[in-house]
Amino acid sequence: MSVSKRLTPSVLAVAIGLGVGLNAGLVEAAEKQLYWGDTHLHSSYSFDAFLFGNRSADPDTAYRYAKGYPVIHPGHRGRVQIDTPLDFLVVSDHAELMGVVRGLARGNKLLAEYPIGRKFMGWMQQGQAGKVFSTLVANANSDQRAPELLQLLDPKVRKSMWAEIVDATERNYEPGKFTTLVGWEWSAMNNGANLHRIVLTATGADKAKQFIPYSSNESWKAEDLWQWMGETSQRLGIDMISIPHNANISKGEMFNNVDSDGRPLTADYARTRMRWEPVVEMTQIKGDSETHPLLSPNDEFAEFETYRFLIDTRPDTEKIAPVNDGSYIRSALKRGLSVEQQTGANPYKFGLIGATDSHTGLASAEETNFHGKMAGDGSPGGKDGKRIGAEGPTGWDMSASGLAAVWAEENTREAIMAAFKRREVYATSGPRIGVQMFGGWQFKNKDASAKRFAKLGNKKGVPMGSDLSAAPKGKAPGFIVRAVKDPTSANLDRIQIVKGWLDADGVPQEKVYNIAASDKRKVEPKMAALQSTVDLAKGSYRNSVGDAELAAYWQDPAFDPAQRAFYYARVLEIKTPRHTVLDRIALGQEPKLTIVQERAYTSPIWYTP
Amino acid sequence: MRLLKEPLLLFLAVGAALFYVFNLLNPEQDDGTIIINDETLLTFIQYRSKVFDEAMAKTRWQSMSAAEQQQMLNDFLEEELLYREALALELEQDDYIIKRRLIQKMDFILQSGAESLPAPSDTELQSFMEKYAADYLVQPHITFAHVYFKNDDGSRAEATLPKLQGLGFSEAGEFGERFLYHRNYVERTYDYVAAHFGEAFAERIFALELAQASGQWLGPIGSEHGQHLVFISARVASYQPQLDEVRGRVLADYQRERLLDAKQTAVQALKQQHAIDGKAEFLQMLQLNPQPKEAP
Repeated sequence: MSVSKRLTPSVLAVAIGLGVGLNAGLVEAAEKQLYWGDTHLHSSYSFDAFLFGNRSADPDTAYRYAKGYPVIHPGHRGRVQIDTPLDFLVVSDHAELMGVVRGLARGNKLLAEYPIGRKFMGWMQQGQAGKVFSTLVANANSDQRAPELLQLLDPKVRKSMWAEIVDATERNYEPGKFTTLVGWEWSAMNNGANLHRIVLTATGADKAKQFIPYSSNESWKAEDLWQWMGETSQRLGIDMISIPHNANISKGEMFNNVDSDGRPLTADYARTRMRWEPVVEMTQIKGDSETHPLLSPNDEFAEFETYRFLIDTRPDTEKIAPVNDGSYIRSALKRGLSVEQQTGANPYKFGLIGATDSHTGLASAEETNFHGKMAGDGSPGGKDGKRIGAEGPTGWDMSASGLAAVWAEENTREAIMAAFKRREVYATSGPRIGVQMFGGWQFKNKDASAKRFAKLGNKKGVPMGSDLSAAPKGKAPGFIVRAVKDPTSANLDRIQIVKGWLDADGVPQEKVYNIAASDKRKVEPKMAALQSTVDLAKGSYRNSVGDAELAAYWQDPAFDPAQRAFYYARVLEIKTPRHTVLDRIALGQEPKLTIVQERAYTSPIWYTP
Repeated sequence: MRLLKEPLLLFLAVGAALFYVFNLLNPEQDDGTIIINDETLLTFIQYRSKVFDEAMAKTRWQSMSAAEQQQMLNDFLEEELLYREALALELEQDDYIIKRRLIQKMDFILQSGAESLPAPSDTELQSFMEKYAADYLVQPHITFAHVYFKNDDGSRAEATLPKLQGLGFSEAGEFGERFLYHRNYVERTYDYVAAHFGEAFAERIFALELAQASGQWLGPIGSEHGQHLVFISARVASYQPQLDEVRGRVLADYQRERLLDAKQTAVQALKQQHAIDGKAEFLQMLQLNPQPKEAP
């Protein structure tokens, strides 16, 4: 006899009421709400953020901005304010030298006890912050760590800096209203390949202070990070996840077909990885990692905010990232199917989110209210600055992206963490496009216009991030997708389904289907583009084309129940001006890279025979 | 004793006192002789390494080879010679970089003075918050449910209204059509409602008389998207929060203001101490009276 059968209806009602927290009684039970946040934001406690001019935006400033209050921009010192406040935020500073550079500049007495501390203090006082950065990055890229740098990693220093950050996280948590999660970035590089991950936990300050955030100085191998996460979670009775980002500059190593030691992937590796990495960053300021035109030549929207500048300051090394299957997410999802076929487990069965990775303490992802990657990029004139050598990127190359959308029962640490773990989350390049997607075997055409969309979706199928299996005989999976424009942004152009599968020979394939179109256009494989409403002289657009809402039912027309597959939805906005257009206007210059089509990507739904 | 609380004045007073004491202890006049001894050398080494720890400087000196020591002494003497000569030529005059550096030092002094003041009491924070009440005012917000009718001239909505009477906030879900955004809006601000429904709708539901608005279905009210029947369960006018609700912000704002105040007070005090003269129009814009220069 199950527990629920013994509960009387009134007890059940109380239980449900408690489940929805502050909104108890006002929101239907089990109806999930959409929450928006940024899981990847750096404050002045990150060594690179500080060295490149963010001396003032500390974690408190970051929370203040995300909650909607005005703050001072750390670069141009103007007053800035987010247009629509966020619901949650993770201040995720680099674990490596966390708080140390800020401490050096502020004459931290503990740091002055070490020769390397005194040397860097000297450089910084001479205004050579960039030299400090190059030394640190060159070291991070090197096989052999300079022993003198290890002096800055004294556990005493790390503990005190970490405690400051954790305290700010705790101070700013308002359950039900605004969620803060304890997190940091493990910034591993392997010979210039970006393997960075954000690590998150839903735990509070008391337990968070019982560990020192794991850094790439301990190991650059993700396997070692996961092992540490396992041991630490077990020791403290807490939960953690890690979120990879910028696969696009990982030289194929983020989603490799071998492990960190070069051995072929095994089922064990896949299971461990999926235990810890339920989601990845699809899109952020350093570019979009969905796919690349070279990998997806038949996808007319594949060219979007591509970014290939490696973070490598060593002389005589490659500075531009190669384009290959291990560097992009669509190809990684495909590779996951292949590995699963060979080993029995899929290492790349992850959900998708967006994040900013801003280093200004300001979680800004709007084209019209974007405050830069680093503090210096916050003003039009500052966008020319180069930080990683002559071939490196400038503020013009940065993308005003992205955010994480989370379907959760309530706005608390536990509920948001649970949504990440069940992958009921999705990515956008900034605009808050609302997207729901359900997959199943019983959906019908009219279900797309159902009033209780989510209720029906959950009844007949499964939400984004879930699995389908055991296809009923003669049936193909069907999907209902609903997208609603950001109330303060542009209209919608279309909804697409991206399908990836393994064909009969085990070769990965992909195809993009249009499933809904605005302006009463007929839904066809190749549709005419909407007229652009962008006025480049003013940096504006009009919502005279596109629709506020699109919804569709789509059934896979080429389904083979014997083939592994995944399906995710991509929702496109109409054309709008890129953030750089406004900066060019301010400077009186001709704009380059002028127009973007912002988008949302849902987490996939997988089919396994 | 308020004067002594001003960091700059305190600093100047202490500086003057130190100078006086120093002169008492060192009656000879400085004749410009360059003194090279343990004391001056160690000071030099500390400046060079930017670490102010005499013991460490001493260790460093002792660990140098003879050639390095020779070089260090040469550097010290050369630097001192060139510096004295530059001063003699008055090269520090009219140098904007030097001027900015001195101003920066003053800023640091004023800032560290303000930072070291004791944490403000609740009473101080309370009165600060009251002084800037408008900054902490909580925006008005509203909690309501609505039933939506697309492409309606109001007649379908009106026909539905009687059926809703007696139903509570979350009991009318089966009526109406699918709306773009939410069915329920909980503690939402004017801007938020306006973004979802348009300005006119937001204006109406925030302005409805509350007595008739609360606890029953009303409407239809038109929006950018169609017609709506509305159940307003709560509407909170803007209010002044208690200190505990906004303590973090108040403290940060208080400290920022104290910093700026300290500098402004110091600058004001300096205006009194320095003779300032020039074009009458400019002086007037600065609200200064022309002051005759004191005889040298």
